[in-house]
Amino acid sequence: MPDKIRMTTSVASVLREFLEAPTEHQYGFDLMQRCGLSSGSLYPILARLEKAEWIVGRFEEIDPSKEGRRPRKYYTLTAAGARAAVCELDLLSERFKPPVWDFGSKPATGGAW
Amino acid sequence: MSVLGATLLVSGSLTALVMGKVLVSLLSKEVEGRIDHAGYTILRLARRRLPADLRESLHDDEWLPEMDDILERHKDRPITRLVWPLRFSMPLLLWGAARTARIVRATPALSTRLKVYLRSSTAIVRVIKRIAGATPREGDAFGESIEKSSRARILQSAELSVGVDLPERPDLVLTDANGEEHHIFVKIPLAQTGSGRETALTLWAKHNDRSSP
Repeated sequence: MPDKIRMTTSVASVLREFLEAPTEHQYGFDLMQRCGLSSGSLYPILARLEKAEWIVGRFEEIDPSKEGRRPRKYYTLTAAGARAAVCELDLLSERFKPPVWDFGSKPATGGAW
Repeated sequence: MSVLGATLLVSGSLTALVMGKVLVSLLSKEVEGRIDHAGYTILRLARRRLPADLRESLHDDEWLPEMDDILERHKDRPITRLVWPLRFSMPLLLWGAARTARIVRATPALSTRLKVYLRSSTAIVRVIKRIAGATPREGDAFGESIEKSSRARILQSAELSVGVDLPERPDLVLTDANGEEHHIFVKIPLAQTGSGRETALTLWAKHNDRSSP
C-alpha cells in the first residue's frame, strides 16, 4: 500500500504525465519540459513520489564506454501508484469542477426569445 | 605610391583580415567551451548544497547524466545550449537540491516511529540489561558492533555506519543500580534503495554524557 501524497497542482501535472504512458520510461528533463515545471520543483516531487512508492526509479542499462554517455535515471509508475494516482486525480478534478448554475426552465438570454 | 608600397598594403590588409577571422573563430570556440561549462559549474555548486551521503545518488547518478543529455540534444544550437543548462541547474542550486535532500532524508511520521519503537522494545530491553551491569559480549543482541571510549559506550546496529548527530534530548533516560544516568537514543533512518525503502534501527547508549559518541 503506497503512502499518501499531499496533492498540489504540480504533483497532479506530474502524475498526469505518468498516467499518459504508464509503462513508459519518464526522464527528469523530459518531465520538466512537458509539465512546465522547473527542476527545483520537479525533483522534490519525484523524490516524494518515489519515497511513497508511487513511482520507481531505475537506471538505463547501457554500456557507458560504448554509448559515450552516463546512464540516465528513469521513472515508471508502480501498479499501486497508478491506482492511487487515478483516484487522486479524480478527486482533484471533482473538487475543481465548475459549479452547475440553475437558471430555471428558460435560458437567461435577456428576453431575446 | 610605389608598386612595392601598394603590394605591402594589400598583403598587410589580407594578413590582418585572416588574423582577425582566426581570432574571431578562436574566441567563439572559447565562448562555446565556456557555455558548456556554465551548466556543469552551477550543478557542481548545487551538489555542494546536498548532504555528503546524497551527492552521489542525486548529483552524480541523476542530474549529471541529465545535463549531458541536454547538451547533447542541443549541440548545434549554442544559445539553447546556454539557456537550458542554466534553466536546469539554477533552480536546483537555489532551492531544488535542499528540498530534494530534505524529502529523501525526512524523518518518518510519528506513527511509523511509534510502530518501530514498539517492535524494537525487545532490543531496547537488551540494551538496558547490558547497561545495567553486564560486560558487553561481542555479536549478541541484534548484531551490534561494540565500541568503547573513555566517555561513551556506543551500541550500533551492524548495518549502519556511525557519524550521526544525536538529538539534544535522549529518547530514554535510565538510572542504573549505582545511580548512574544513561541516555538512550533511538534512531530510525530511512535509506532509499533502487526498489523501495529500508528501515533500520540504531540504538545508542551514552553513559552520562551528551557530547557526540
